[in-house]
This record gives sequence, structure tokens and C-alpha cells, in this order.
Amino acid sequence: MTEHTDYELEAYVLGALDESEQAQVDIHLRSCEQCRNQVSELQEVMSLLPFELAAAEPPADLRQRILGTAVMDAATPASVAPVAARREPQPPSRPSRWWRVPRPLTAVMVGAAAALVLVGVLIGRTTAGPSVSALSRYQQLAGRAAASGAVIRPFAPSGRFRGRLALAIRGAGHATLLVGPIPSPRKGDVYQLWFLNTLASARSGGVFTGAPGGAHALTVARPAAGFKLAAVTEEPGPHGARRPTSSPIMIAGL
Amino acid sequence: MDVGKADSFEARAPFESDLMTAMRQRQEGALEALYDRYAKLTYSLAYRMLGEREAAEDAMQEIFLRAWRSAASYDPQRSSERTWLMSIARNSCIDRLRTSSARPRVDAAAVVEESPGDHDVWGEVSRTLTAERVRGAMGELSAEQRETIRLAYYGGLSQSEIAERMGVPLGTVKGRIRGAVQRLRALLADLETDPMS
Repeated sequence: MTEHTDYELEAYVLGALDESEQAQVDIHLRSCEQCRNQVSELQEVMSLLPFELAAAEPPADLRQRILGTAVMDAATPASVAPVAARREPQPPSRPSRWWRVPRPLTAVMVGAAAALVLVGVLIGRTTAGPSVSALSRYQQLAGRAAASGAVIRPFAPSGRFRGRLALAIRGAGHATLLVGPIPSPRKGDVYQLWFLNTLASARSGGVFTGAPGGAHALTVARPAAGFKLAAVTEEPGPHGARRPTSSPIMIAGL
Repeated sequence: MDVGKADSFEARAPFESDLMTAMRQRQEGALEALYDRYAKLTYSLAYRMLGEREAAEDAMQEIFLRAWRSAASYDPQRSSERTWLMSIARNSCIDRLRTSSARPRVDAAAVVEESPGDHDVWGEVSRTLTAERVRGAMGELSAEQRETIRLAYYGGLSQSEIAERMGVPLGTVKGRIRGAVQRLRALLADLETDPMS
């Protein structure tokens, strides 16, 4: 019979066992309270380890990015996934819809979108992927907007969208979304800009399809006053959605 | 890791906390409070594991959103809020290490610069004291034990991978891990139940 001491609980709490060993301990723990208690105690000790690191201050805007994304996520039902598990299910390739709207869009939605004046100005386009000149063009746009007295709010994208979107706000009258070279949305989808305080109050700022090889400047009339957040989601094309239906790709505090 | 459901007749779970109750109920301000309490610790861990600021920031977003989305499944019978969050953080960073070309920073001593002023003075004092205890305890380990533990904890390496990396027999690695973890337990057991600090 296997003794309790034969289970390498110390390595188990570090996640340092091979898969088969880890599974073996998992099975044992289901029926052994003594080892469960020991694992719990060891986990508490090991979770102190990061205190040995010099404290690093996260960037100031990270807090707002995270809280803003949680606001966008507010309508998502609380997950029941066991987050402590070492191997969590992979997220779906497409952001989950949390607010379904019927397709095609109704005239009401189109009307609401049309109430906002959206002017797309194509600045440059190539057929290739993101290029140095396109990035440079994007930076020029941002620089020009800043020089004209606009406040620039960088969006907080993750991964491949990083540094490719910014919102320039001048007064309460209008805002300009600066779009750098970003990947095209999925077939049939568009990117949609939102202004919001809560999910229910989200107002569309228009749609765009990205500029894989170029840079766009999209000017939005009467958009930002009174809103705390701006966000971009991927929505069904061609007109977008009435409310955000997918997790934000990018988000910015206003 | 699944350790099964704890008995339900306990009057109060050992790790019950108001913060996690608020998180489970998705109360307004709960995530904010969790972030304010653990952002530095989590960011320090993510930066250490991933070695790049951008990657650490991306991981932070994922970690706190995972926490927000899955707070309902938090079990106060099993772990403290700190252990629960650090588990999410480690898993998230290990996933990133395995799916990207990022390399774990397991060879350097502690990593990042001290932060500028903090408004939560008592929190900072408590954190500093805990850090001293943990560093002291790590100092009690042999250099080989420290390296082994760090390769496992920050690098997400298995015992077999560590043995290969360090060029020592698997049995040696097992012995070092068992000895190091039990030593840390003896030295730090009285800190366990303090949720933050």
C-alpha cells in the first residue's frame, strides 16, 4: 500500500510533478483529508515566495485598464471554472458574446449609429502587412494631434494591438480615433468604438475595419463628454452592434 | 488542483474573508480592493516570471479578470485569497511561458526596482516585514535548494526539467525540493494565515 509520505506533496504544490504523477496525487487527495490539509498548508507557505522579490509598481494606468475591462465584463455570468486548476480550458478563438443582438441589425441601431457623425480619412494603405512607414504615419498623426492641443488617450490593447490605437480628444466637441496598422477583423465583422460608463450606457462611436497596411483617422462628433471609458470591440458588420457583444480588444480611460 | 470538496459542516471556513465574499457576490469595488491589495505582489511575480514589462502587464489584465470571472468558484476551505490569487497568477504566467518564446527569468536575483511612494503606509510596513521574513527564510536554504525552488516556482519547470537544466540526478532534485519546502514551512508557518501581508 502506498504511504502518504510516498506522495511528493512538496513538488505537487510547486506544480513540479510530471503529468502522470500530478494526476496520481489528485486522485489520492480526493480521498485523503490528511494530505489535503497538508497540501493546503504547503500552498499557503509557497504563496509567500513572491514577497522575496523587490516590489515593482505596476504602471499607473493599468489599474484603470483592468477595472474598465471588468466594467465591460459586468454582464458576463460569473464563471464556475476551477481557476486554481493548473490547466485551465483555453479561451475560445473568438471573444465570447455576452450580449446577443439579432442579426441583421435593426433600423433603430443603424439610426443610432448614424446620429454620430463618423468621418473616415484614409491616410495611407498598402497591400502588405504592417510596415515601418505605416507605423510612422500613425505616430505622425498622433504627434500632429498632440501638437494641436488635443489630449491623447492611448488605448490599452493587448498583444498584437499594442500601440496601434489612440484617441485624441479636443474639448468636448469631438474626438479622433487614430488607427495604426492593425489586423483586419474576422470576415464579416467590423471593429466598433464605444464610449461608456457602464455596459448599459455604451454609445457607439462608429465602426471601422482596420488598416492592415496603413493608418486611419476617424473623427467622431459629440462623443466623449460625460463618459469615463472608451473601448473597441469586434462586432458583426457592416454596421456594428447596438451594445458591445464581445470582450473589448482595447480600452482607454477618458 | 482539485483536492475535492471540504466538509460543509464547518461553521466558518478557515480562509473566509470579507473581500472574497464581496468578490464572489461581484460587489462594486471588490475587484478594485483586490487590485489595490495585491497589484504589486502580483506584478512583481509576473515580471519575474515573464521578464518583460509588456508581458507582465498583459498577464496582469488576464490574472485580475480571471479572478473577477471565477471568484464564485473560490473555496475558502482550501486556500487564502492570497494563495488563490497567486495560483491564478502563476498558472497564467506559466501558460504564457509555454506558449511564447519568452524565457523565464530564473537566473537573476530579485528583479525590479523599488516603487515610489505608497499611500497605504501600514500595508507597506506589513509587506516589508513579510518580505524580510521570506528573504530570511530563503537565506536559510542552501544555494542549490534556492535555485531549485526558484526554477520550479518562477520558471514553471518540472522536477525532470530541473534535473536536466542543473545537470543533476532526478533524485537529487526531489530531495532538494522536499527539503526546501519543508524548511520554508517550518520557518514561515506562522505567516500563513495572514491574508496579505
